[in-house]
Order: sequence, then C-alpha cells, then structure tokens
Amino acid sequence: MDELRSRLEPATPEQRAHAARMHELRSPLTVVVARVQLLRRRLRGGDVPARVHDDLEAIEAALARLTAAVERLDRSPQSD
Amino acid sequence: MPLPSTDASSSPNGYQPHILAINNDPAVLALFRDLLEEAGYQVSTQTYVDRDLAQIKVLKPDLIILDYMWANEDASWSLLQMLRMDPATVDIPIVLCTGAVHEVKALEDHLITMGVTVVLKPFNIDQLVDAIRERLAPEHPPIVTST
Repeated sequence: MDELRSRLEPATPEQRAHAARMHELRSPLTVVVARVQLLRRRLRGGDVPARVHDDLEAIEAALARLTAAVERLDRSPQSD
Repeated sequence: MPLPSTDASSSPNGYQPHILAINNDPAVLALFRDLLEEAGYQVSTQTYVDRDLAQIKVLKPDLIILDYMWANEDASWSLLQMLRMDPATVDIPIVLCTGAVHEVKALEDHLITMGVTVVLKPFNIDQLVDAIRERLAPEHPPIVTST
C-alpha cells in the first residue's frame, strides 16, 4: 500500500501544485455539468418555453468548451 | 419528484442500497445526494474532516464514494487504506470519483485489484449511476470510466 501511495502522489512540488489546481477546477466544473444534466432531465417532457431550451443549449456549449480547456490545461507541460 | 429517465435502483423486495459519499466540498456532496436519491438510493454524506471509520461501520453502507484529493492526500489515502485493511469494510465496493486523471489512469490495474472503480471528473451523471449500479451487482468487476 505504501508503494502504491508513493506512485499515486505527484513527484515534484510543481506537479503537486498543478494537481491541486486541477482539483480546484474539476470539482466545481463537475457540479455545474451534472446540475445542467439534471436540469435537462427535469425539463424533459414538460411545457417549457423554447427559449429555455435555447438557454440550456448555450450553457451546455459553453461548458463543453470549458471542459475541453480544462483537459488541455491538464495535458500542459507543467503536468508532466 | 423522481426523475422519469432514471431507473429505480431498489430491489424487487423494496431494499434501497445505501451509499456513503465522502467529500470536502458541500456542493459535490449535495450533488451526490440529489442525483443518487433520485436514482433510488439511500444516501449519507461525510466530510474528510469528520471521517470516522467507526461511524462507517455503524452505517454499513453498500457502497462508498470517495474523492482522492491531492491537496489533502493524507486524509484521502489513510481513509482508503483503513477501509481496505479493516475486515468490517474490506468488502464494501468503493467508487473513486476524482479529477486526478493522469495518476489514476496509470494505476488502473492496482485500483481494480483493490476493488476500486474510478469515475473521472467531470463525469456524465449516467456514467456515475451506471458505475454504482454495476458495482452493486456482484457479477460486475471494478471499472475505470471517463468521458
């Protein structure tokens, strides 16, 4: 278990800082993405104005861009 | 109001599996509670600050959701270690819901050996519910899933 723990931990202070930053980004992003998905489910089949669906689509598109940006940031050189 | 698109996860005899979610972020814990209760599960929550193995033994959850947090890895790791070393909790399925993508993917085989299923953040809500449902079905092994 200790060997596994040492392999789990980021090796350098820079990597640890990067991992902490990514955690700070991914956790709230997870909440927003999941809440929008729940909202989409709750509105399904209901009498909802078309502009509400348009708003949701715009939010989902922006979240997809934000998620892609976070993924690119996580693949950036300082994460290695 | 129950969500029409989610399957009830209770068994035919009415038993609702009990899930314990442990995380330091109240927004994440609230999300787990809303999502999983609507999917038909009983949900309890704890933070790493008040993590308590004795309390976990009393709760006897059917499954535990952990977050491996690098900023607080001592608490995260020690709890995972305690859960896997205590005979009373060693068989409880664990879903590790984490944003530590690189590290966890590199350790996929080890985590599966430990009986830990990994769901990477940000996740699709169906992915999380599917992973939980599969772990609660004994014929399914741990998995690593990502978007």
